Amino acid sequence: MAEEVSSQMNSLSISETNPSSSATISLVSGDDIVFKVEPTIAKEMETVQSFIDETDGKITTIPLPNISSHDLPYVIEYCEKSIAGKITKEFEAEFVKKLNNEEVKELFLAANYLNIKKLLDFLSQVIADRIANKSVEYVRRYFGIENDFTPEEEAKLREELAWTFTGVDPDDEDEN
Amino acid sequence: MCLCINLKGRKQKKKLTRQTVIETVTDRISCLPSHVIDHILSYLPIREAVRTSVLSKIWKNKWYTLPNLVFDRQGVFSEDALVNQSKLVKIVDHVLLVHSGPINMFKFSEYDLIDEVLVSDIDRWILHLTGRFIIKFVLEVLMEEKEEYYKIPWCLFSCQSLHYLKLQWCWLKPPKEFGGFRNLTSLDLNLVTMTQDVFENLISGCPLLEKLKLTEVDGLTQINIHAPNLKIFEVFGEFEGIRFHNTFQLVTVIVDSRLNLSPENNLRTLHGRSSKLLDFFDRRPHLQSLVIGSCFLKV
Repeated sequence: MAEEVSSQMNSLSISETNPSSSATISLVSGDDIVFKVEPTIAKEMETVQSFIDETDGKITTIPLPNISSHDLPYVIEYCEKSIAGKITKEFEAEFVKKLNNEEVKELFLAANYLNIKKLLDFLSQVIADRIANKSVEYVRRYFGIENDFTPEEEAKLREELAWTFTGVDPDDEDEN
Repeated sequence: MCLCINLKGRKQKKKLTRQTVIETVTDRISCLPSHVIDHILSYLPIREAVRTSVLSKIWKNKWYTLPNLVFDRQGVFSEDALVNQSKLVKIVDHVLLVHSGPINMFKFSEYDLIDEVLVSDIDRWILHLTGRFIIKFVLEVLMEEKEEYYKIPWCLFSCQSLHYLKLQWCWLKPPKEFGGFRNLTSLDLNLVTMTQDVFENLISGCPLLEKLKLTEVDGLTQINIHAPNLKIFEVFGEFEGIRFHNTFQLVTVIVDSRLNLSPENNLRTLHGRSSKLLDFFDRRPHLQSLVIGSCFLKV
């Protein structure tokens, strides 16, 4: 697990090289919490690695404004397991058990932003599993989608795509 | 209404908490580029993926770029739906008509007997798909007449974009000028009928072939294989023997016969086979796994 260091500095001033921590990479979450990780972890995150490469490794503090300190540890945990070659079905099942729908979505966005292919594949499957056989209304709520069809437009579309509405589960209360 | 704010590279004037991120951008998933959405949709059966059209205007066309189109009973209908084939045809037509962008895979499986009308529909789809540079093609159909197989239309043999081909219950009779699939890496033929010549030309015309699986292929007595890159070879069914030419990369070979041969017949054919297997061992430096079915081990 990454060492968490609460930082009072803002993310601009810490984007400087700090010689004492050159061995590790500092990832700064959107809410200004610094996570120190091994360079091998950064390699898993293509976006971070290309940032490091572009600056010839001089900058080792990377601001990740889109990712909160709540979600970043999950990403780091997954990357650590991935490097150790310990991504098993059991690990993934345990990992996903800890996550509510909101967290799954946030991690998916984080994996996309950081360009971590394995995590993105895994979370795509998780999201697909969670919306499979669910009603249109459920999926709208799941993604936070605002329905911008007029009732007539929607009715017409539902009629055209009637074959896709077979086997939809009734909505339940367990949405998170 | 969809709000997307790209925070990358933007100077942060105030602290962003997870909560503020969520509040300003309520629906960030919808704003993701289409290949990312495709990724989620590709894990859903086609019925589910197409249904996302109804979510909102921004989602209406998202599935149009779905890379893999899989039409089987489970994917198109819920498990126990009794639907006639003309409805299935309409659905495939609808999807192919509105689909835009590259098609990576097209799979059509129908285990209800297909009639002549559906045969001409499948011909039509294949013609369409060969013009769309399809990479993987899977066709599993069952003809009305028990002895009859679906005849693969000639246009498929000109489809050089194919990397993966899996056919079941088909009849392969390519045009004379057919020179193979230059990019094919995996070939899986199940209950397919073809002549010895067609088979040999097909295999030697696929120089990149790495994986070959033959199940109950009709028309082959002697299986002659010329495939310099072949790594995995599996064969199930009735045949006299296997001979490899210039095929030195084999890593895995699985040979099995599910036939109940009569004792005298069994003995006679097995003698021939065993000698070929000895020859075979001498010249496979990469071979790691060899599985031989029970019929053969009685020698």
